[in-house]
Order: sequence, then C-alpha cells, then structure tokens
Amino acid sequence: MPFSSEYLGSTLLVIVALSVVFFAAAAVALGYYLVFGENLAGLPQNLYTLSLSEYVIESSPEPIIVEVGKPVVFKIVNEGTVKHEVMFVPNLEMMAEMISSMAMKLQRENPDLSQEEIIEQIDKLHDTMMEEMIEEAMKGKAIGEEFMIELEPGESRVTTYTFLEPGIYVIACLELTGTFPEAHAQEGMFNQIIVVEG
Amino acid sequence: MFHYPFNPSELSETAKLWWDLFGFYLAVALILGAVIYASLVLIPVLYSRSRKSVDEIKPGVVPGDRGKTLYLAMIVLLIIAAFMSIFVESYISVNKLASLIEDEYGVNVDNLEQLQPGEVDGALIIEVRAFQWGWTFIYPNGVESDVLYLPEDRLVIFKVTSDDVFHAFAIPDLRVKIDAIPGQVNTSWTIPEKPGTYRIQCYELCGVGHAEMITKAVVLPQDLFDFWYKSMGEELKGLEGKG
Amino acid sequence: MAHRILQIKRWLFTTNHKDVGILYLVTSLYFFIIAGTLALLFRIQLSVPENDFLSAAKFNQAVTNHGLLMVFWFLSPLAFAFANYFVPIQLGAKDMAFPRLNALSYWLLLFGGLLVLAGFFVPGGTADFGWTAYAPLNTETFTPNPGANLTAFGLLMLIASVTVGTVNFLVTIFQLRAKGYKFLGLPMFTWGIFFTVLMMLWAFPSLQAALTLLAVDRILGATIFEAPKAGLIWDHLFWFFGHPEVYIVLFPGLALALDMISVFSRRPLFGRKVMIGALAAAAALSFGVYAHHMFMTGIDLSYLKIHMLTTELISVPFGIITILAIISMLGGAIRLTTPMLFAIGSIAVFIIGGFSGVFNSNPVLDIANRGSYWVVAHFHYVMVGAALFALLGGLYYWFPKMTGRMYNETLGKIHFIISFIGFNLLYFPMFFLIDMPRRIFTYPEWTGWGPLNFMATIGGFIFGLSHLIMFANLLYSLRHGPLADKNPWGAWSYEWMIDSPPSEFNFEGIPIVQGNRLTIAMADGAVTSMESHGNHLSPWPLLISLGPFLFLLGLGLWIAEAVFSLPLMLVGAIVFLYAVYGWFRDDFHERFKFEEPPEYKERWPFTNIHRVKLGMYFFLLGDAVFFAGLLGTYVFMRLEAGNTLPGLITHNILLGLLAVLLMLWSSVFMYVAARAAKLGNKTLALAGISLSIILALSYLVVTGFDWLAVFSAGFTLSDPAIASSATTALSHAIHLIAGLAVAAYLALKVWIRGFTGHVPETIDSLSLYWAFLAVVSIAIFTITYVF
Ligand code: HEM
Ligand SMILES: [Cu+2]
Ligand SMILES: [Cu+2]
Ligand SMILES: [Cu+2]
Repeated sequence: MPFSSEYLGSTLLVIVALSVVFFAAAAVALGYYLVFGENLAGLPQNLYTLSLSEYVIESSPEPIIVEVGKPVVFKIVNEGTVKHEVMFVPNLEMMAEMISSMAMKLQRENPDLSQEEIIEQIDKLHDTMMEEMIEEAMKGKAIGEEFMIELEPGESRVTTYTFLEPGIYVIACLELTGTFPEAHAQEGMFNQIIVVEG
Repeated sequence: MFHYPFNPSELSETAKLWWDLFGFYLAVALILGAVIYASLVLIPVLYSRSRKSVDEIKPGVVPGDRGKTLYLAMIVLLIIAAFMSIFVESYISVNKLASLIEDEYGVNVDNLEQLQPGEVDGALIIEVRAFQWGWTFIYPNGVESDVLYLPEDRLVIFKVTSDDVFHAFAIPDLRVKIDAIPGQVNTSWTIPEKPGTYRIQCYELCGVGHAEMITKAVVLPQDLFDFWYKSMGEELKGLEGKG
Repeated sequence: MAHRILQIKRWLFTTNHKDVGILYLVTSLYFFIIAGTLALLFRIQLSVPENDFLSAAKFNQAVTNHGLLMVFWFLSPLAFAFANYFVPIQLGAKDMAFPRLNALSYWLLLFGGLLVLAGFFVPGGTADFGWTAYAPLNTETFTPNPGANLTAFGLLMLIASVTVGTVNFLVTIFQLRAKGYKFLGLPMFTWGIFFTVLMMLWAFPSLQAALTLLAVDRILGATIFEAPKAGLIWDHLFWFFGHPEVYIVLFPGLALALDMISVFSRRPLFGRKVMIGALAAAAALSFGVYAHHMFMTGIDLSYLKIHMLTTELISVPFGIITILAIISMLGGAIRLTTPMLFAIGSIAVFIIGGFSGVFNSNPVLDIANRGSYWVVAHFHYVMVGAALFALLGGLYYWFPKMTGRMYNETLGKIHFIISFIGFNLLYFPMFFLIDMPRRIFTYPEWTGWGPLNFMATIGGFIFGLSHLIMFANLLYSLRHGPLADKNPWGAWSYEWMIDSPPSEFNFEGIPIVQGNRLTIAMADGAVTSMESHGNHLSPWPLLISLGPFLFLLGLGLWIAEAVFSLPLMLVGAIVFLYAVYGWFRDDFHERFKFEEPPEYKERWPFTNIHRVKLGMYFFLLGDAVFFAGLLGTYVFMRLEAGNTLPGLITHNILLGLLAVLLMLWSSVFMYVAARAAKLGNKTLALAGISLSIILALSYLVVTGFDWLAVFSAGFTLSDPAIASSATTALSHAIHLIAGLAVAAYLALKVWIRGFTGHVPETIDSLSLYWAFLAVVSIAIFTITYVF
C-alpha cells in the first residue's frame, strides 16, 4: 500500500534525513565560506568611481583593491565647488609640506599678491614640476595615461591604470583653494589604492 | 606584500584570535554533530515498527527506568569531557585576550578605562562617543572625526561611551565589539593588520536611527596615518589660534 | 438559544482545568497568528536591501511586539494549555488545587495580551525598544510612544497571571497526586512543567521588579533608568529573569518530546532518572548563567568568567538529555506518526540550537555573535525549533484525547515536512549572517546580505503558511474526523485511561497507584460530593481581570491624552472592586468548595501543610526575589549612579525604626490570631486580627509621614536612589494594603460565622504573609534607611 500513512512516514523520514545531510553540508560550507571565503574587507574590482568634493576623495566601492597586472578603470568626478585633482603621490607628507611652504614663502615675499594669485602661481609650478616627479616615481610601478588629473567643478574623466607592483598607492589632492596655505590633502583629501597579487 | 584573498583572520590580531577559536569550536561541533545526527536519523529508520515488534509500554503501567548504570555513567562522563575541553579552550582564550597586550605592551587590562594617552608606548588611545544616531571619534591630539582612521600594525585602544542610550560599537571584520553605555567607559582593543576600509556599525537597538548608525574605519599604513593625524591636529591648532 | 447562552456562559465563567486549558490553547494560537503576521511583515521588509516596505519606526514596533507576543503570549501559554489540561489528569487529580485561581490566571493573561495589542492603536505608536526593552531606551525620554505604557501594563498583568498560575501548579503537583503516586513515576511532561513553574517562581519576580521601576519612571516621572550606568541594572534584572525564561519556554516542549519518543518507540526512556536529574540541574543552573547576555557590557572579568563556566556547564545536562533521548529509541519498534516526527524534528533542531549556544558561551567568540543574526538563529533554533515543534507534536498527540476524534495523519505529516523545511530555510541562513546586526530595519546593498535574507524570507513564508495545513486539518477533524479510541497510541499515563474527551471530573472513581500500576478504584460515595456543573462556574476571575484591564487601558489612554480615558478608568475600578466583593461574598457563603479528600492523595513531602498555606509559602518564595530586585536596585544606585545620598541623611531614622517596630508587632498579633483560630478561640482571634490591622495601618501612616518629610525636604523622584527606595516602600505598602483587605474580611467572617470552612488555615497563611512583610520591612529599613 504505497500511499498508506505508515509508508509516508518512512518516506518523509528519508526526506528529513536528506535535509539533515543538507545541513551538515551547509555547516561545512559555513565554515569554508567564513574561513576561506571572499575577503571581508572587499573584493578586487576593475571599476571604481572616485568622487571629489571638499575635502575628500570618496571611492565606490570602498576600499580600492586592485590586482597586479589587471587594468582597472577609474571614473573620476568632481562633485565639489572648487577645482580638485587626483594625483599619485609617492610621499604625501613631503609633497604637502612642500606645497604649503611654497605658498607661505610666496605670500611672505609678495605681500601685495592676493590669495588667488598665489594659488595660480603655485598651480603652474606644481603642474610642471610635479608632473615630471610623479612620472618618474611611477615608472615601472604602474601604467597609465596621466598620474595627475585636474578637474574643474562638475567635470569628470575616465582613465585606466595597470599596476605592476603590489603595495599601497596614495592618491591625493594638493590644491589650495579654501584651505590656503595648506593643501586639501591636509584636510583629509586623500585615499589609498591597495594593490594585491592575484 | 599582499596576497589576495586576505584571510579574514589576518585582518587584525583580535580577528586572528577569533578565527582560531571558531575553527576549534566548529570542528568539535561538526564531529559530535555528525555522530549525533547519524544516530538520530538511522535509528528511526532501522528500528521502524515494520521490522520489530517490541512493546514495553503497557497502558496504566509506569515504565521503569532503563539503562545500565555503567553505560549511563559513560555517557555522562563523555559529555563532561567534551565540556571540559570547551571550557579549557574558552578559559585560555579569554585570558589571551588580556595577555596578548599585557605581555607585549605592558598594559594592565584591568583598568584600561583609566589609561591616559601616551601612557602606553606605541599605543593609540581613541575615545569613541556614541549618540543617537552616530559616532564621534576623538583622538589624543583633540581631533574629532566621524570616520575612524586607524594605523596599521599598532595597538589601538578604544574607550567607548555613550551620550544617551545603549549602543554597541563594533568593527565586525576586525572583531571589535563593545557596548557603549551612558555614564560608563568600556574599553576594547585591536591591532589592525591590513590597510583597507571596514564597516563600523551599531549592534544594540538604540531607536529608529539604529540601522543608520553605520560609518567606516579606514586602516592606513603608518606613514599615511601619521600624515593624516599630524595635519588634522595642526589644522585644529590653527583654528584655536585664530579663535 | 438558551443552550447557546449557556455555552457562552460556560466558557466565560468556567473554572474547570480542561476548559481553561482549551481557552489557553485558543488564545495562544490567536496570538501566534498575530505575532506570525508581524514576523512576515518585517521579513518582507528585510528580504531585499534598502527596502521601504516598513519604516524604521514601524519595523521596530513590529519586531518588539513579535518577540513579546511569541514568547509570552504564544509559546508559554501553548505549553500551559497542555499543562492545564493534562497535568491534573496525569497526576490523577480531578482539577487543579485552586480552580478559580486557575481561571484567574487565564483571564489575566488574555487581558494582558489585549493591552499589548491595544498599544498598536494608540496614536503615537507602541513599544519599539525590542523585547529586551533595554534601559534607558525604554524610558519616556527616548520612547515617548504612549502605547509603550500599555505594553508595560500588559506585561505586569502577565506577571500576575504567571505568579498565580505558578503557585497553583506547584500546590497541585505537590498535593494532588493520586494516592501512592511517587514523584519519580510521573510522566516527563509533568516533570517538565514542574521544573518550568519552579523557574517561573523565581524568574518572573525579577522582571516584575524591573517593570515596576520602569512604570514608576514612565508614570510618576522618576528618572531611575536615566541615571548614569542605570541601564546596567535593567540588564541584570532582565536577564536574571530572561535566561530562565528561555528554559521556561523550552522545558515543557522538551519534556513532551521525551514522552512522545518513549511512547512511539514502545520503550521506556533510557536513563529516565538521569534525564530528570539533568532537567533539575539545568533548571538550577539557569539562574547562574545570565551574564552571558552581558559579555559586551564591560562587566567585571571574574564575573564574566564564572558565567562563562556555568553557561558551558549548562550544556552538559542538555547534551545528556539529547543523547539519552536518541538512545531511548534504540531497539524500539518505532512508529513514525505525526507527533513522533515532530518530536524527532524537535530534537534535530535542538542539537543545532544547542551547539550554537556553546559558541556564544565563549566571550571571545561572542565578540562577533552578540547582537548579530547568529544569535537570532541560535535562539530560534531552540525556542521556535525545539520548543514549538515539540508542542505542535503535542497538539497532534493529544488532539484525539481532547476532542474524541482523530486528525488526518497524512496531512499532519505533510504539515511536518513543509514546516520543517521552511523553518530551516528561514533560520539556517541567519548563521551565515553573523555580520549583520539584529533589529536593523534595512541594510545597504554593498553589505552583500541580500540573497541570504531573501532566502530567509522565502523560508519564513513557507514556515508560516505551513501551519494553515494544521489549522485546516484540525478544524475539519474536530467535526468530521473518525472517532478516536480511548488510547490510540497505546500510551501508559492516566489521561489515556479515561474517556476522550474526559468527563468533567476526569475520573469516574478514585485514582490510586499501586506499585507501578495506575488504577481507578470505583467510587464508594466519598467523592460523589463533587458538585454538579453549576458549582464550577464563577464570574469573578473574569471580572477581577477585566477591571484592571479597563483601568490600565484608561490610564494608558489618559497619558496619551485620548478621550474616554477617565470614564474607562472609573469603570475599571468599579468592576474590579465589585468583583473582589463578589469573590469574598462567594467565599463568605462558602458557595464554592473544591477540595479532594486528602486521604486519597499523595502529599509527600508536604503531608501536613494545608494547600492554602503551601501556596502562600511558594508565593512568598517568589515574592522575596521581587523585593530583592528592588533593594538591589537601590544598592546599585547608591554605589554606581553618581551623587546620591545615604538613607541616613534623607530619612528620619527614628520614624523608620518606629515603623519597623509597628510592623513587627502587627505580625506578632497576626500570629497570635492564627494560633487562636487553630484552637478555636474566637475572641482571641478577633482581637489579634484587629490589633494587627490597627498596627499595620499605623505602620502605613508612619511610613507615609516619613516619606512626606523626605519630599518636603526637597528630594524628588529624579534622584534615582530616592526613586528606587520609594518604589520599594510603595510595593511593600501595596502588599500590605491587599493583606489588610483580606484581614478585614476574615475578621468579619469570623465575627459573624465563626470558624467555618478554611478560615483557620487562611488566617494561618495570612500570618505567614504578615511575617514576610515584617521581614521585608526590616530589610527595607536596614538597606534604604541606613545605607
Ligand atoms: C546548550 C545550551 C545553551 C547555551 C550554551 C546558550 C547560550 C547562549 C548565549 C551565550 C547567549 C547570548 C548570546 C548573545 O546575546 O551574545 C544566548 C542567547 C539566547 N539564547 Fe541561548 N543557550 C542555550 C540554550 C538556549 C535555549 C534552550 C533557549 C531557549 C529555549 C535559548 C534561548 C536564547 C535566547 C532567546 C537568546 C537571545 C536573547 C536575546 O538577546 O534576545 N538558549 N544563548
Ligand atoms: Cu581638492
Ligand atoms: Cu544602534
Ligand atoms: Cu541565556
């Protein structure tokens, strides 16, 4: 009597058994997933959006984790109200110090210049001088079109990099508008790119 | 330097402690669980009524006690032994939570809440204030921030309190969690080991904004952290000077 | 028509334990449906990230009330539905020891639940601070929602219900066993209930203390829980209650599963005595583990280690029970009926729940677990899984006994399998959500919690809807099911030896146990004094509960500034007073008598104590915890909560001393009255009671003066130490006033009718009560006046 309830009982028990086996498996999966699963701090991605505003570089998703040798696309948007930049900085502390001491020096030497004029002057210096320095520093570490991207408010840019060495790469904004004589970075406008081996 | 994927137990010293323990517990649970489940499922199948005709239950007769004392004692002892192993492991791990930093940094964990900044070499003491609904992190140099910046590879001690109701301060990935209680300072510590951004969230129901008490902990390499810490501190001094 | 009305009257006024059991059953299932609907609502909200199906406020209210209703108004009452129906029968009794109090406990429970539900309809929302109601979130400042007051009132009514029920069950189990019935021979279910009520006796007063303090905060405008660190005292009081509470929910189901396993595998339990011992050990230990809910509160490290040890220790008895339950099936002839499947399913999920509990017991692991969905999974595996599955099994198991008809076995099994799968689909994913905080109304997409939550929601719907199969099955079978045998499962205990459904007094003769045989000796006229139907009805339990319900509803609405609140309060007060009067009047005319002749009962070890006095003993044992909780709060406030002044400064020591002396003498005179009543000396008894009353009244007046002085010296309830000691004094005074009402009534009765009925024993119990209050007044004095 295949449909008697006695028979059904044992059939159901088999189902229970199966589901119990399912749990055992699930429990093992739990262990595996938790121990060897994806990095809880984030997965390497190949597309990041960086939004710049006063005075942060925010990335989505966070944190920025990239695999060595894989091209990664950054979509950079200036959502602030002043000019910002994204610049690869080998030594942030030194660079920031340099910029702000330069600003202060200019101000001391030319007391008749307004803040805007000083910033303009430094911008020029910064563009020519730093560009070379950075190109030099990034050589062999990363491939990309430019390592210093300046954006006016509302402007955006898409660019691609391929990192060749694992490590932490710091990006920062060294503009001065609004934080004069300090750079935006000193207000916290920087972020880190974590480059890992695959 | 970095290999992907990061093992979650490498994210911090406390995470390592946690994952080692969790693995131990999981192993014990899976081994015991497998045996128990196997018997729970097999016995009813093997001894279903169609195969046997035992009937020791008689209406109106109080069933007697069954089971040889020897077997019963063995079962009880076996379970107690399993318990002992768990207990010993817990005891060691709880002590480890204290001794890990006691040995290395010479901190007395019994009165962490009285620690003053600078008292422990190399440690960073951060005051965490929870409120409805958000967080303020106060650094020894007076910097206040709503995002938590942490240095890599350095002992960080959190002194946690609340302005209004109970909250719980947690950085789950780093295995930090401690209640924020009005009128009381609780402490917790960790040593972050991997730069990155981690979720901070409140783990104790604190009103309608509870779900939104999320912010981030950014672990930076030492030099970058120092840059942030110093320039924010100078910023603050500048402001004070002017004001 | 007349029949109809009689029917309605029967259900409203019944005091028969089986009718009360059915009332409990229906009520609990009703709350199950409500709380389940709430759960489905917030599962929908959580199914996908960033959902806006429910707002944060609504979500929090849904979660809170889901928890409260499920734990207090569904799981426990379901267990107590069976307990009411079957414990007396399993003991061989004709009813509970105090049938009217039994009905009272039901009505208090029902109205308490209705108060909680009423909270939803108060403008401004109801309680939204979680079922644990952590302070200071639960205070007026942080949760102004007026509905929350109703929740607190509802819980207080529940506690009243539980207190009455607890005492009743303890006396019943101790004194109404059939002659010759040894404790060890009782079915496991009765054992489970026995330990459950013992835990209830000591656990609930702690919650009562916490809620009383909260009520003082919320209604009298004190700020006890807003003082620095004061939230911690809530934690202590709540979890001292809360941990035993989780076993209170579990034990009846677990014990019932053991009975079913034994019956359906046709073998006695393996190591039955060891299991009983294990239950006893777990019950005892349950009071010493609660700080594991406070691992993250920064409590003292050594305290934490002790509770870690005890928590891990408590998994030993549960391990023993589980393993012995499985071994019990070995070598049996197992019949996989619906109840048996539920019993096995219950054990199966209990194992997962228990193991996850051991994970939580380690404070280091708890860093991740605390406050996360892991804990949610853990306690649903034990509470919903283990307890509910077993109780649903019980519903099938006893359905033929309660209705005389059989349910449909195939549908029952289908119900089991669907609910089992749904349950696991619902809760297992939550173990993986160990990172996700509990009680958040939504979560950002980037957390990656979406898919597992979606899975859980699907499981939730499967689990929730699967019970419709059961409802349909049972409702249909109620009318149309095939007639059931007396003993369809071939079980052994008393309930299976009588008719299905049982007759009004269960046994047509006198149940007597000889050796290990349960028998029913034929009646020889001694028991035919068991009265007819009408005598079993009393409107007073209903009205005594309705009064406070209306009153508290009115009070809650009044605070919410709603209309009709004052008349409601007035009506409530009148109903209550009238009902109390009615109860006394019935007693005066001795219209309601129920007592089984002691010579047919096994009353070891309380052979010579009258049931009223035994009940009083139990009540006071619980009440002591209540006062200990209040006084403990005072001490905590003095030590921890900043600037509070010692009682030596705030109070007038001499007045306090005088009050204590008055109370002591009052109690001495009550004792004299009790002795006199025993000897039959009417004059002396009357004199004793009257003097005692006068002294107690002057105690109240003197204490009142002292408090007036305190307040006029400028102290207010915003001082947490003052507020907590005032709460203690107030609670003591309320106890005394209730006692005075009874004392006055007894004096009147003695005066007019002499020592009839149980009057001497009642006076004796009252003198015990008085002695207790005297001791409490000494404690109050030494702690709140001196410290
Ligand atoms: C093997 C035995 C058990 C152990 C070792 C155990 C351990 C624990 C621990 C340590 C916690 C605290 C977790 C936390 O909040 O961080 C906890 C929570 C809880 N347990 Fe258990 N448990 C056990 C059995 C049970 C049983 C039998 C029940 C109920 C029938 C239960 C119900 C609960 C509930 C309701 C909570 C959460 C309370 C809340 O926060 O709302 N547990 N358990
Ligand atoms: Cu900038
Ligand atoms: Cu919160
Ligand atoms: Cu507990």
